[in-house]
Amino acid sequence: MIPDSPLFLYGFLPAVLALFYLSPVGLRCGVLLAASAVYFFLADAAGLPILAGAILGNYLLGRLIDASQGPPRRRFVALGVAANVALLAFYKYVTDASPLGVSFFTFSAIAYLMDVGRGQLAAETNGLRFATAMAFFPKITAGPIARFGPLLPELAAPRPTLDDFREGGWRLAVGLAKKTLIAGSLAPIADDAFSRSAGLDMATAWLGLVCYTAQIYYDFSGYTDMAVGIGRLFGARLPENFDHPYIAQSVREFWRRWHISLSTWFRDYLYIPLGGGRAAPWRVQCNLLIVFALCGVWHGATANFLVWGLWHGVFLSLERTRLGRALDRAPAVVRHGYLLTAVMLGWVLFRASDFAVSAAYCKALFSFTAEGFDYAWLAVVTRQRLAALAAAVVFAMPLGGVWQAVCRRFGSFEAIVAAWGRLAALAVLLGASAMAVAAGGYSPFIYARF
Amino acid sequence: MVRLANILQILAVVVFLAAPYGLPLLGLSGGRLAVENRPQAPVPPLAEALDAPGRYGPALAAHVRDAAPFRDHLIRANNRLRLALFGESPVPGVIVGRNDWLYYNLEHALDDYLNVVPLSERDMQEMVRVQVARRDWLAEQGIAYLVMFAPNKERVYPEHLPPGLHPLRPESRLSQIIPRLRAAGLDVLDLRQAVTAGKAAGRTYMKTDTHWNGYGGLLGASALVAALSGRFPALEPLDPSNYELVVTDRPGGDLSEMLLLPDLWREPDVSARSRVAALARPAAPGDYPDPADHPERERAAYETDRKDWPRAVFFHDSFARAMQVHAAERFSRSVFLWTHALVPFVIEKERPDVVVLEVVERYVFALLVDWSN
Repeated sequence: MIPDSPLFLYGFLPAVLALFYLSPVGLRCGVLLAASAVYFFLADAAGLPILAGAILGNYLLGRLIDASQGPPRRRFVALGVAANVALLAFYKYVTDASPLGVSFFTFSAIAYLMDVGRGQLAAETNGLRFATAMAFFPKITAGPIARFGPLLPELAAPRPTLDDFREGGWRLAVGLAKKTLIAGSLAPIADDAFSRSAGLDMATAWLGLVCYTAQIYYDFSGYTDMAVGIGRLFGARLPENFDHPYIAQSVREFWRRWHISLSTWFRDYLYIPLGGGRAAPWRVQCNLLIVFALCGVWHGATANFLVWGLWHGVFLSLERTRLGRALDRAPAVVRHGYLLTAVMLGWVLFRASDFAVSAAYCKALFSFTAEGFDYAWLAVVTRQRLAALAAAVVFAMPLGGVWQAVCRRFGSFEAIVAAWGRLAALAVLLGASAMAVAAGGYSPFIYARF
Repeated sequence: MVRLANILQILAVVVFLAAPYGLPLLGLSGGRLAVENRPQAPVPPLAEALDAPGRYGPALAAHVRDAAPFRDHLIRANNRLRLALFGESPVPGVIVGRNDWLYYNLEHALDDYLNVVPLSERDMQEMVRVQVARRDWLAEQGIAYLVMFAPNKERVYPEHLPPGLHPLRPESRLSQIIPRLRAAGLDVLDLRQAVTAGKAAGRTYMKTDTHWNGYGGLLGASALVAALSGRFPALEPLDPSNYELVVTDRPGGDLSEMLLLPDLWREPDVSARSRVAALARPAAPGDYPDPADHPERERAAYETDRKDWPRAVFFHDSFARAMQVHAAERFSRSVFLWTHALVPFVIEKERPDVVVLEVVERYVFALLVDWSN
């Protein structure tokens, strides 16, 4: 079960919402835990015992860390971190049967144990609440990596307001639309380009890469919007994960806007403990490479992901040299062009199945031939997909200020226009998404009846 | 006003989440419209949650995906909206052309038209081998063999395709294989020219369907009779001028159905009505199992009183349907079997004078289909 499936949207989520709102506040945390268990069972039944084991182990370790001091405390923290890393490594890199969300719940758990170890967070004594925070279904599939500090109090006695429900519904609608209307529309162009083993021309390769660049952002940020929105429906505020990353003007800035919960995790629990940016320049650059190499392999168990991580690490290191300072003085258009080129070329490594495909794709990107593009244009590119690409470009920019400026032009009616405008947008997004979700599984065939 | 808009925002979310399963509880429910190339996923038994828990969730998700109330109506609304907004097909299997024409785009039909997937030398050699073996086996029994190709719709009516859609290479797969088959001594009937020339008198393909219409089928049958007349001199021509073309409004064809809009995207169907009394009448099928073995691919048999005309067995695809009533007019007995395989027991039972293999252009790989027992 995935969050943009009819089972989730029309069956699971309404049922859980009804049960949640009909339950006394004291029972709501239990409702959310039961719902998370059902969600996990429907999505990955085999992984449920592993999640349960991880919850129990981390709960006990948290209590042990909290109850100890000095070297034993550090040893328990180290044991907890090692156990979670081992769990992640084993299921992600040794077996093929990776439990749902293992990358996310292990990183959340490591953050929790380290926060408790540092004395920044008291260990949670309520096992039910701890389990709910770790398994909370809106975030279990694709994050964000929620820190337990802010989350645990919200799950203790969730009392969402009407504003929470309204804002949560809005984010859910935005996320669903990003996923189904934009990412889903662009996927065929990207898939076509990346699936061509031969005959890929430069124009098709760049079109495919642009579409993939948009697809991965709208798909991932769409999931995050849905997670944040659903969390809000239940009165829990999950952290933001994206802040218009493609408007960044350096790789450094990109990582402040892309997968924020992961980059801040690496910053807080790896980069800073390694010395952060306060060490000697060579050491800082070495730290960046280590952090981003690990960031790469966190995404997947292939060499492509490792190189993708190092690719970003190298750019971050370079930006700390004279080259970076020169770049900072360059015109905005140059800086933006640099960022997009670096990130997009990195996506080739991320999307391609192996090095050979990556190499062939990169070769096509600079092949300076358009022979074959006419086929892609006729067979793959449609007006609807081009419209989705145009929408992807427009909505990759922060437009909140523009909308506010439009509303302000209505003077004393500003609030009314804003509220009714959003109602109209909400209705359009939900309606269009419902149609796209339904059409997603439609597979007509003229000979079906024969 | 702001408060009202805020409340309506909440209501919109509630309606979105609750309506699909809430409205049926109030007696409102959407029926099935879609015809798909897979059966609807069934409700998984609850026992499976215990017996095979890993399969239960995906099975339940698949069932809800297929059976969610109003699903087909949402798909239909989505199709209408996208057609209106973008003027192009919302369904990958359909191309929306100009002047309300629809074209088929599954089974590599577009690639076939663009001529971007040529036949390999190995494929062509194998096709020739299979067809020559058929011809020789039939010839040993004194039976003639003819391969006829019905053209793809877009080959005959490229002018209604979307602007800019044109073959990217000059030679089609059909143009590759036909000379090779003829060089091997096979009788081949290529209907591209005949059906294209027939456009002058009337439309030969349905606008909303991938198939030719009754008039196109008549042109195919007429060309077939002409092609066989050399071998069977008693055969009289099947002259299309003895037919009048009748246009009937009916729900849209298979492509319109793929869009779930057959009621809105209708077909002005052109059929050919004989000005003279029909000679052929339905006859009993032979005493053997139907090789198609499918309820909607049932065989057909016809007979006339002209015992001096040949007996024919047709192995065919869907294109023979619009042709068979016309072709049957020039055979003493004609049997139409929906398969591209040569079925020896049918030949033994029917003892035909001629066997015809009808293949639509996009199914050219049917030439590789071997014998069936």
